[in-house]
Order: sequence, then C-alpha cells, then structure tokens
Amino acid sequence: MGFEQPKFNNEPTEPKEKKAGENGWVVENGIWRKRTKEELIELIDQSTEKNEEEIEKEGDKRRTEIDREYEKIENKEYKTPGDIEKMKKLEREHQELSKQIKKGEEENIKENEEIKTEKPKGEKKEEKEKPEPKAENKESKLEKEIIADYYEEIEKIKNIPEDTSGQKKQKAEKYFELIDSWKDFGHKDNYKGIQKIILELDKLEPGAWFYNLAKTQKINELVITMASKYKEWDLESKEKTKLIKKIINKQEKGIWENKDKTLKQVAEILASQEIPYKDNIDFIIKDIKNPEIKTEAITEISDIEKKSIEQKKQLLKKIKEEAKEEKIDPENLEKTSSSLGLDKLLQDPEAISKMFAESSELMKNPEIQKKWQELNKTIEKITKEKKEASPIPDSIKKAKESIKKPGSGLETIFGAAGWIVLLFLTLFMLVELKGVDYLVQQSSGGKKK
Amino acid sequence: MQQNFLNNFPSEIQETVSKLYDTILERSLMEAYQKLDDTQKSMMATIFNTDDEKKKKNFLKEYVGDLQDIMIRETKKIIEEIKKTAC
Repeated sequence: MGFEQPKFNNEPTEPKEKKAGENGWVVENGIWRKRTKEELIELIDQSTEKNEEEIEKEGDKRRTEIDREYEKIENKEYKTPGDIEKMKKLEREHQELSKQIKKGEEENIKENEEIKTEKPKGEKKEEKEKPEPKAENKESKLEKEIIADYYEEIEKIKNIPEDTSGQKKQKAEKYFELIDSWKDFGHKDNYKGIQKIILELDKLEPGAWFYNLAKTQKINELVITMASKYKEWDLESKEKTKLIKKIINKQEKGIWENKDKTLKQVAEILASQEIPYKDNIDFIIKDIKNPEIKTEAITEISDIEKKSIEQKKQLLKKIKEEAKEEKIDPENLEKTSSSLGLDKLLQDPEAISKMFAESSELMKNPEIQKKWQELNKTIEKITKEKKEASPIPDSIKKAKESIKKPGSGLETIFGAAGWIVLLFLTLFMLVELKGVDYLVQQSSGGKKK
Repeated sequence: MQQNFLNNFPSEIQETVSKLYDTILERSLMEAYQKLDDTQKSMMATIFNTDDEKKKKNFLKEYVGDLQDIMIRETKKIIEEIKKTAC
C-alpha cells in the first residue's frame, strides 16, 4: 500500500569511511565534505569556550548547593561530630571550587595576556599557594563557634524545671543527649564542657536506679571515646589519664561495680592505639582495685603490644563494638522490671545496693540458713521435675550454652530481660529468706521497721 | 557481664540463682523451639553445632525474636511454682 517516498538529489550522501556528523565533516548543499583547517580551529575554540562556561556554571550550581547544605547544618540545634566533619568538608569543597573557577578565569586572562605580551608563566604558582592559612583560621573559628553553641545548650537545659521526678528524668535525658553529640568533639576544649554537664547531672540525682544505670553507661561510653581520641587530644599524657580517671570515678556505685571494668577497657583501647605503657597505660592500671581484673588487664595489654598494627586496629574496632553491645537500654529495663513488679522497689537504689552488699552477712544468720536450705530443696525439686518431664533437644542445650558463654555477645538478644530476671530472682530469694526484714533490723539497730 | 552481677553475692545465692536462671532460659528456648517448623529446627541444629557466633545471633534474632517476653513469662511461672510447692 502507498508509494515509496521519492529520493531527492540533494539528500546528504554518507561518506564511506567517516561517520556522518563527525566533527571533521560538514554537510554543504546536501553533500558531505571535509572541514577546512580554518573551520576546524573555529570549531575547537567554540567548544572550549562552551566547556569552560559549562564547567563554570556547574561549579556555581554546586557552590549554591554547598551553601544550602552548610546553612542547613549550621541551623541545627545539635551538631553531631558527623555534622561538624560535613561542615568542614563542605567548606573545603567550596574553597576548592572557588579556587578552580578563579584559576580558570585567571588562566584565561593570562593566556590572553600571554598572547598579547608573551609573558613567562612563572607568576602562576604564587597565585595558587595563597589561600591555605585563611582556610585554617576559618576552621578554628568554626570549632570555636560550635563549642560556644554547646555551652549555650548547657545553659538552656539548666533552665528546665526539676520539681518532679519526671522533670528531673527529662532533664537528665537532655544532658545525656548533649554528651552524646559532644563527646567526639570534646577533646577540643579538653572535655571542660562535658565535665560541666556531669557536675549538673550530679546535682540532679533523679534517684531512680535506672537513672544511675543510664549515667554509669553514659560515662562508660564517654571515657571509651576519650581513650579513642587520645592521640588527637592535645594535652600532657599525665593530664589526659588523670581526667579519664576523674570521669570514671563519676560512675555510680550501683548493684554492680563497673569502674574496674571501664579502666580495663580504657587501658586496652590505649594499648591498641600503640600508646606507650609507661606514663600512660600504667596510670590507668594502677587504679584497678580488683586484683583479678588487674591481672587480666596487664596480661591482655602485653598480648596486644605483640600484635601487628592491623591486628591492633581490628582489636580496637572489636572493643568498641563489644562496649556498645553490652549496653542496656534503661527505658527497656524499666518496662521489663515493671512487668515483674520491681519498678517501685528500684526507685530506692541505695536500699537495694545496701541489701545486696550485706547479703553475705545475711547468709551467716542460722535462722536464714535454715530457710535457705528449705528454699533450695524446693527449687531443686521443681527444676529436676521439669527436666524429667520433657527431655531437652540437643539444639536447645547448645543454644543455651552459647548464650551463657562469656564474651559470645549472645546474651544481648534478651535485651534487658536477662539482667532483670537475675535481679528479680535474687531479690525474690532475699525476700523469701526474710532477708529484707533481717537487713532492715540490722540497719535500724534491732528495731523492726 | 551477667556473671559480674552474680559475683556480688554469696556463693549460695550465686549457685541457686544460676540454677533458676538456667531453667528459665531452657524453658524459654524450648517454648520458642516448639514454634519452629522442621526446616528451621534442622537449621538451628546445624548453626549451633558451629562456632559462628554471628550466625547464632542472627538465627536467634530472626526466629526467636520474642525471647524477652517468653523469658519474663517463664520467670513469673517458675516463681509461682516455687511459692506453691513451698506452701
């Protein structure tokens, strides 16, 4: 159907060896011909100009984007260390782009001038090396501004009322958030600001055991960061270790003591960064009170010192990851303990600590010993009966052993439940043994409250 | 870490709490295990026969995600049993 389209005589004929549209060829009166030399030079000039314009336009576009991104971060209420890094990076990129555009412009002018006057190219180098000190000043100015912002934030949080325990808790959470965002940057003011927050937290004392746990964990995270930034931190070694120890001492004495463990972690982090033992790590080790933990720490440090740089790097990563995994979410813990009816009891952390601390004394009482034997028999009976009633598959036995294996990290799959169950069981036993009454009697001089 | 907690108590308490905790853990895992199908059960057997802690953790997270709640339930149950038997 239809007619075939007629072919016109002036339709461009395809060159046999060269592809149509290639820069060396042009259509004239419907016939392909090679460009003349003059035409080629003109074409190259046009394309260079176009490219330069495009590059400049792209550069301007990126600079506008950078300005927007920078402003967005600058307006944030809290700047994380990541934000600060990003701001520095954006600033560097901006400067680099400006330099490139400026350099392009200067080169164009110079080339034009060279064509006119044929000047030597030696002056170009001096122009290139100028802007560096300016960039450094800008960076330190930025750091100062960020630190000032953090201090301003402390003042803001200070204004939160603390009349109820809820308000105190809220205030403490705000301080914890500020420590989180500041800790990677804290060495810039020798952790003075963060110490100020800790002092505020000391004054706050919301009283609940969960708060003590959260504070202890926060301090642990902080000193791990301090140890990780040891090389970047511009202070005498002695001063650094002194400050780390001072902050570790702010960890609350809770149901379990963490200070020795934190000191050990710090010592290992320092060793994995090749910090010398003498006048650094030894100051930390010196403060470990538990002889077993001390021995363990010294042995591990001498093992770390024998490792290669790469192995040390891997170890540092592992220590940090493990420290993160061991954290318990106090909120989750509070919820779980509430489901076991422990929440009210945990509002008085001092009483619990005292009860636990004096539990050894409790077991010496003959009346309590008798009750203990009865309780133990009951527990034996129940656990044995259950095991006999339903045989346990091998997979379960192995899973249980894996979970219980120290250092496997599997116990964290329970979140807070594992801890709270242990706590609950211990409290249950003390209550069953009438140990609570006994301890109250002891501490009130024989008078039962 | 949990052992650190128990170290704060006299050995008698440590021992009995450990025993109770063990039973609770076993019962909780058993309850979760019964919900698995045959393929998942054999996968569990394979994984827990290796030393790959990461795989073990991933398995527990994926297939036994509600272990926390089960554990709390089992704790309550066992305490009730002790109280009943002691009466």
